[in-house]
Amino acid sequence: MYDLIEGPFLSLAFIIFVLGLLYQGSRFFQLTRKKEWIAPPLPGAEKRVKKSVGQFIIDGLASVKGTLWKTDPLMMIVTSAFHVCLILAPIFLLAHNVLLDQSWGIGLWSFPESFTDWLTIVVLICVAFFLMRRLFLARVRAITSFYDYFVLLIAAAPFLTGYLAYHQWFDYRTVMILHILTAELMLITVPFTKLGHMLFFFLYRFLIGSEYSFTRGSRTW
Amino acid sequence: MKLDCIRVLMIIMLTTMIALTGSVLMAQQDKMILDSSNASQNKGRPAVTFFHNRHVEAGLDCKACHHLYQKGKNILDESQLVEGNPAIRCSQCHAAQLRLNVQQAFHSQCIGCHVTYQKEKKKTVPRYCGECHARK
Repeated sequence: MYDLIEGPFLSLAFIIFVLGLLYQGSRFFQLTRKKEWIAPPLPGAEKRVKKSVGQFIIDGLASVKGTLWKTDPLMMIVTSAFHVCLILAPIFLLAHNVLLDQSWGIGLWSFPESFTDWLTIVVLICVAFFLMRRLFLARVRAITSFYDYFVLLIAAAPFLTGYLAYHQWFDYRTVMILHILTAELMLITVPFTKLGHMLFFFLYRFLIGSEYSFTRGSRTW
Repeated sequence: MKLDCIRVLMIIMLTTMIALTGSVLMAQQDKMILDSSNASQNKGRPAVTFFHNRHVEAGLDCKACHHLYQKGKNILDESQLVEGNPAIRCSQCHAAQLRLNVQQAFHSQCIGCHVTYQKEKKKTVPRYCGECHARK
């Protein structure tokens, strides 16, 4: 059992994760390859207006009005905290890095464990917030299906089991096995569910954005 | 005369005890606390309670764990292995500033052996972090 989930399953999960992301990324570029125009007539693109620093800041703050900061500041804070902690906690977790060091001879620097423990708590509180939102906020519930709860569960499960494992609540071995399995499930599902925003966020946010400013839209969306 | 008899008896008993248990080394305390929090950067795990006798009972040779390597050979003199001898402490060689510091040394030796042992003997031994670094 242990040899299976720590050996072939783990390798398979990582292979599916990496190949899946490569596949989705290449599909993304393939689907948008057709050129819409060669030299798009973007007005004012040639003439850059020089702004003062003050004006730059004022414009920047004004553009925030179009984002979540303006429409839903609480959600904006919670989702930011969630993503920061979600990424930091597993990467700089002491136990992960000790294991990495044991098997590959390289381990990253780690946070003290009491600190990663707090990061995990933040992740779990944010998950609870997202769940409550989906359950009780009418406008969110209206667009929520079983799939959304399932994805939320996949994202939360490694952190919940990790938290239980760290505090050694319930049967430690069972919790550890669940922790490994749920993490593997998460890796496998990332490229093929909406957890894929792990990759696509950067494409949406920066590639598409730049297509309409610096690089003058040469792709078809 | 009576006192002598008791002395002789006691010596006989002691010799038998040593003979039966194999060596004086077996008579040492079973539970040891391995706490390297001073030797390496400790970031929060509880110290390990190590059961020496279980490892002897499992049929391990002293030199399966205790070692002093020279040119790839374990040249440790087993008569050195007496309780309280500072020269045989792991931290004597595995110093904090070394790559193979005391934490690394314990992890490699314990986990390494446990993983192979479980594979070969099909017996359940501690292998996940919290099974050795157990919270009370």
